[in-house]
Amino acid sequence: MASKQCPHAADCPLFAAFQVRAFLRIWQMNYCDATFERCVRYQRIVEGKEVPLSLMPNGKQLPDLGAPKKE
Amino acid sequence: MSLLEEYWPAGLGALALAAVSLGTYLGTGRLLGVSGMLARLLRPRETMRLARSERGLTDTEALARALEAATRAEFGGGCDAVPLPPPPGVTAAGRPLPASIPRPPWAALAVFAACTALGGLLSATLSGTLSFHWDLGPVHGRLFSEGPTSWVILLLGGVLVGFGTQMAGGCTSGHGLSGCSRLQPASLLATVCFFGTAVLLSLLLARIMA
Ligand code: SF4
Repeated sequence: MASKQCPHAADCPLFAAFQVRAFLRIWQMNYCDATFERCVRYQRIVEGKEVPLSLMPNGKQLPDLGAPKKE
Repeated sequence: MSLLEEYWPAGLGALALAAVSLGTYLGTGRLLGVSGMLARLLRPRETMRLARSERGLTDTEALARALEAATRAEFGGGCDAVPLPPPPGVTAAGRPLPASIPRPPWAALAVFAACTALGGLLSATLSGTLSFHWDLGPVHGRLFSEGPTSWVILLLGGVLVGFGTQMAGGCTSGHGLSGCSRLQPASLLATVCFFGTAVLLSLLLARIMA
């Protein structure tokens, strides 16, 4: 069966990021190129909601990299 | 004598729209989409929260480190256990991550909205048609009556336009300018739908009003 890719892959900045490091391709294998319907980013796009770059497919947020470091 | 006729010449209008679309892209790195900008403008807290959540992600090395940590947290040893081949054309060390584009701040959206109104004012002034009045013209008056009823109709029309643009994921600028210029199938289809409907409705109204 032909694998189906997320229809938003071309515009998704995380897909582009997953593409350039072998280590990160596990996200593509588990979400973008497989069951993209369970990707929280995809679900938000379908609902017409804003998708922050920091939102991962599993719904977790990347840490706030711009926040001042705690001592 | 006015500097411009009542309506701008079509070619000049096209050039102005192209300049705004291109200028927005070159200035912000994002495609023009007025309904989306307006929606974000009307949700200032959400817009600022999103901008905060993306702080620092424009630093591609910091983003790479954060992604690596998130990958380990999600897949644990799995990501090392399954040695994936590097993507086509990428060495084992990988390539730098693509730079992310910062979101325009809420204030920039407010400036854009203000400039949209100012542009209309300037255009009307240059064409010598600037006037302030509280009715929506004779055609609208004949179709929907005058006074408060016409205002309710106008409000309902605005709500429908807002609903439609959010549902379709764009409006005449997002789909019509940014999408069609990139030959995006969804935008081409959306533009055919809304422009086609507008032309048909105009012809129908012209017939009714004749
Ligand atoms: S599945 Fe999610 S992460 Fe992958 S391309 Fe689609 S929206 Fe982006």
